[in-house]
Amino acid sequence: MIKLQVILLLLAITIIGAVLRFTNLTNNPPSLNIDEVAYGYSAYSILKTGKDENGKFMPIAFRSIGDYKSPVLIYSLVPSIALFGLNEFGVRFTTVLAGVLSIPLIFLLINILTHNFKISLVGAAFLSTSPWHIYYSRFASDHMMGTFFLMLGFIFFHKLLAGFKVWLPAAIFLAASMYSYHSHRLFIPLFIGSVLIFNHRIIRPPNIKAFLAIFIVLILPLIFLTLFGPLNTRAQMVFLSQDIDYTRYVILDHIEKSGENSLLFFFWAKRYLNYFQPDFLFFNGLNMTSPGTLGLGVLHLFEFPLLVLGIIHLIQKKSNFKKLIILWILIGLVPASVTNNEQSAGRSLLILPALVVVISLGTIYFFKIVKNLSNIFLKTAVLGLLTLLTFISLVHAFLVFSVYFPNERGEAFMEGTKETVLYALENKDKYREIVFDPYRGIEAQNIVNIPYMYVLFYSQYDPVKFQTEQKENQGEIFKFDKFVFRRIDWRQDRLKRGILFVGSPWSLPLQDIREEEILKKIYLTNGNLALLVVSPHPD
Amino acid sequence: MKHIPKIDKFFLSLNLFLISIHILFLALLIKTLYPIHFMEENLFFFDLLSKPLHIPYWLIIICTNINILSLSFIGKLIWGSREWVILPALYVLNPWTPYLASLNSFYIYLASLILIMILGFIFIKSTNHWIGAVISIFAGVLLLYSSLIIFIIFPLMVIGIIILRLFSKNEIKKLSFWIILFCVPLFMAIFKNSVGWENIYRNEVTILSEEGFLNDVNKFQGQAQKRGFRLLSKVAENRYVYFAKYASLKIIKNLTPATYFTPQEKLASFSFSPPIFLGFILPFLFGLYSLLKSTQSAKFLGLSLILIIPSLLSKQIVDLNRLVIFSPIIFYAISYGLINLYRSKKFSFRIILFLTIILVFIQMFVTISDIYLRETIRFDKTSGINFEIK
Repeated sequence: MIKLQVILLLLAITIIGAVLRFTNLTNNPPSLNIDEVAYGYSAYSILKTGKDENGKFMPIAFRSIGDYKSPVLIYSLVPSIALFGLNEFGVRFTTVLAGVLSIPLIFLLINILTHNFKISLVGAAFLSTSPWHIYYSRFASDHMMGTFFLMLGFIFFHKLLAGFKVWLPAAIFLAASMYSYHSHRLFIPLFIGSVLIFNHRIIRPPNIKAFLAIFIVLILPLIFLTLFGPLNTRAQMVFLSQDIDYTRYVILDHIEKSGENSLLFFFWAKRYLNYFQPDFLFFNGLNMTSPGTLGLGVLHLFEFPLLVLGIIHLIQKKSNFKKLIILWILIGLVPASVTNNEQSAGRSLLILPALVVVISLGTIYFFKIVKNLSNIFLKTAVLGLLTLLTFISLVHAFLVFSVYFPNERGEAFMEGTKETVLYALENKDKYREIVFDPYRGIEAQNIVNIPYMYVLFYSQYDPVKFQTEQKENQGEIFKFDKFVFRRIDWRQDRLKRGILFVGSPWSLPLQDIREEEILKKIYLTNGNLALLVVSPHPD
Repeated sequence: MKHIPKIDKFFLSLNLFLISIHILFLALLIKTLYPIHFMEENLFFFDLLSKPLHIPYWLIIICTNINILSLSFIGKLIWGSREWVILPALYVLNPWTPYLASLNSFYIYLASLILIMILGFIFIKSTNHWIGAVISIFAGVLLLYSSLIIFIIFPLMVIGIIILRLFSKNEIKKLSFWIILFCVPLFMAIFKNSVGWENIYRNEVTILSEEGFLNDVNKFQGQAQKRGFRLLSKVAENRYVYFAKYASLKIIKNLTPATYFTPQEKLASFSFSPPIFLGFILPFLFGLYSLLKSTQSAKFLGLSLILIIPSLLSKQIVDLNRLVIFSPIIFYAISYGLINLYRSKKFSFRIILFLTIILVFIQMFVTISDIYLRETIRFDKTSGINFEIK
C-alpha cells in the first residue's frame, strides 16, 4: 500500500518535472527542426485524409523526407494536432506529455524492482531533473516515445517474469516501443532473448509462450519491412560501415580491401566503449553548446560519484534485478553503436531508465556510507562537497537550457526558416514564383534545410491538394504551386523579375545585392545573419 | 617474496624468446613507419645547463628491452611460479610500448627507470635491503635528472608512500637522504638558472596555460549576463569551476577503459592500433576488481595514479606517449585478472579466458596487417609531410 506522503512527494516531483518540460516550450528549442515539421505535417495529413503527404493510406513506415519515419509518434500526434492545431505546441505536446508521464512510470519501475519507496522516489527525482530526459522531452522526438513505451513494457514484462498473467500488455507496449524508434527494434528482441536465456530456470513457460506468440505477431509487419521493405534501405544508410570516420580514416576510402570487416568490428568496439566516456556522460553528450566547450552531458556531473557507487552496490549486493539492469545498459548501447554517429544521445536514450536505477541505488548507498561516518568533520565535508557540486551542476544546466543552447544551437533547429516562410506566404500573391535555397549555414553552406516541409507546415497546405497536384521533381529541383526549391545562382537569378528569393548570405551575397532589393534579413538569437529574403530589380 | 628470484634456464630462455618477439615487432614497425618519430626531448638537467642532450634512439631500444626484463623480475617476485611470464608478455604483445619505442619516445626511457625503481622497492620489501636500496636510489636519481615532470611528481610519490605506510619511516628516511644528496648538483642548477627552469616548465606543463577554457568562460559569462543571469553565471561559470571541470574530465578520461583498449586516443596522433588489445578488457576489469578488494593492493593502485599526472599536464586530454609510464600498472591488473581467471575452476571464467585468447589473436593479426598496409598512408593523411610528431 502506497502511503499518502509518498503519493504527495511523487506528485510534487512530477509537477517539477512538468514545469521543467512545459516552460517556454514553443520558443525553446528556438524553432521546429526538420523532423518536427515533417512529423507534424504527416500527422496533419493523416488527420485530414487518412493518408500521409505522399498519398499512402495509414502507413507503418512514413516515407516523409526520405528517411522512413516510425509511425508511433506521428499517429500519437493526430489528437494533439486536432486539439491544438498545426503549430509548435501541437507538435511538441505529445512528446512532452510522454516525458512527464515517464516520471511516475520510473517510480513504478524502480518500485517493482526494489520494493523500496525511498529508492523509487529518488529515481523519480533524478528523471524529473535529468538533462537528457528534459532535452528529448522538449521537442517532438521518437526517441522519447520509444523509451516511454519501453518503460511501460518493461514493467509488465517484469511482472510477467514474476508469474503474473500480463502477457498482453507486455507484448503490446514492447511492440509499440519497437514501432516507435529504430534503436528499440534491435534492442528489444536482443534484450528479451538475453533475459529469457539468463533467467530460464525461474521463468514459467506458459506465460512466456503466450507473450512471445502475441509479440511476434505484432511485430511481423515490422520484420517484413525491415527485411524486405524500405526500412532495410534506411538501415543500410545509417549502418556503421557508412561512417565518415571509418571510411576516411580507418579503411582510407577502401585503399586496400583485405581486412576491412575485421577493422569494422574493432571500430564498432571503439564506438561502443565511447558511450562510457566521461565527455559524453558528463560534459558534452547533449551537444547543446558549441563543439569543444564544456556544455552539458547526458548526466549531471554530480551524478558521477553516485553512478560509481551504484555500480559498486549493484555488483556487490545480491539482487534479482541485477542481471536485468546490467543487460539493459550493455545491450541498450548496441543499436546506437552500430550506426554512423560518434555518440548519439538520442539513439542511446533507451538506457536512461536503467542508469536512473543505478544512480538511485548509488544515492541511497552514498547516504548510508555518510551516515556511518563517525568523524563529524568528514561527514560535513562530504555532504557539503556533494551539495556544492549539485548546486553548481544544476545552475549550469539551467544556464545551458535557457541561455547557451538557444544562443549557440539555433541553426541546428533551423532557426529563422519559419520567419522566411511566413513572409513568403504573406506576400505570395505579389510574385509569380518563390524560390527557396535549401542550403544554409553560418560558417559554411553545409546544412540542408528542406524548406518545402516548412511551407507545407506553416501554410497548413491542404493535404488533399498536395497529394494529388502535379509536382515537379527533377534532381535538385522540387516544385509545387508557386514554390520552387533549388540552389540559387545569383549571377543568373539577379536578372529575373517577379521572383522572391529566400536563401543564406552564401547564395545571396550581400555585396552583390542592392539595399532596396533586400526585403527581410533574418538573424539567429546570437545575432548572426542567417537568411535573406530578396527580390531583384534588374535595370 | 622473501629472496631474489633464481635466474634459471627457463627464466632466461623465456626472456630471450620475449625479447626476440619484441625486436621482431619493433623491426616491422620501424620498417613501416621510418622516418616518422617523436620530437626529441632533452634531459632536464642538461637543459638547465643550456647544454641540450637527448636520449639516443639505440638507448630507447635498449630501454624497451630492459623493461621486459624488469617486468619479468617483478612478475617473478610477485607470482613466483611460471605465471610471471604473463606480465612481460603483455608488454611485448600489445602495440602500445613497441609503437612508442619504434618512434623514439622519451617516455620509454622514463618507464624503464620507473620499473627499475619499482623493482628496487619490491626488493626492499623482501629481505634484500641493500640491493633494493641501491637500485631504487640509482633509478630515482636518474629520473629526477631526466625529466621536469618527474621532478614535480616525485615529492607526491614520497608523500603518498608515507601516508599509505608502504615502507617504514626508517627506510624512507634513508632513501630520501641518499636521493637528495645525489641531487644536490640538480638543485644548484635549478637555483642558478631560474629562467631556464621557467622555460622548461612552460614547455612541459601546458595545462595551466590553456587559453581555450578562459575564452569559453568569458563567452558563457557574457551570454548569461546579457540575459540578466549575472550572479548565476559568476557562481557556475567562473574560471575555477571551469578549470575544475576540465581537470575532472582529463582525470576521468585518463582512467577510462576506452582510452587503453580502443584506438579512441590515437597512438602517436595517427594510428588505428589500440594501445592494448580489446580482448584484455575483461581480464583487466576482473583483475582490477580483485585487486581493489585487498587493502594493500588498493593502496598501491591509488599511489600509482600519480603516474597519470604527466598525461594530465599535457595539452592533449589524453597523452598516450606520456601515459606509457602508467602502462605497467594496467599490465599488472590484466595479469592479475588473467591469472585469477586461469586459476578459477568456474566454467564462465574459462569461457572468458578462451574468448580473451581468441579475440587477442584475431586482433593481433588484424593490427599487424593494418600496420603493414595502411599506417603510413594514415600518417600522410593526418600529419602530411612532416615526420616529426610533437
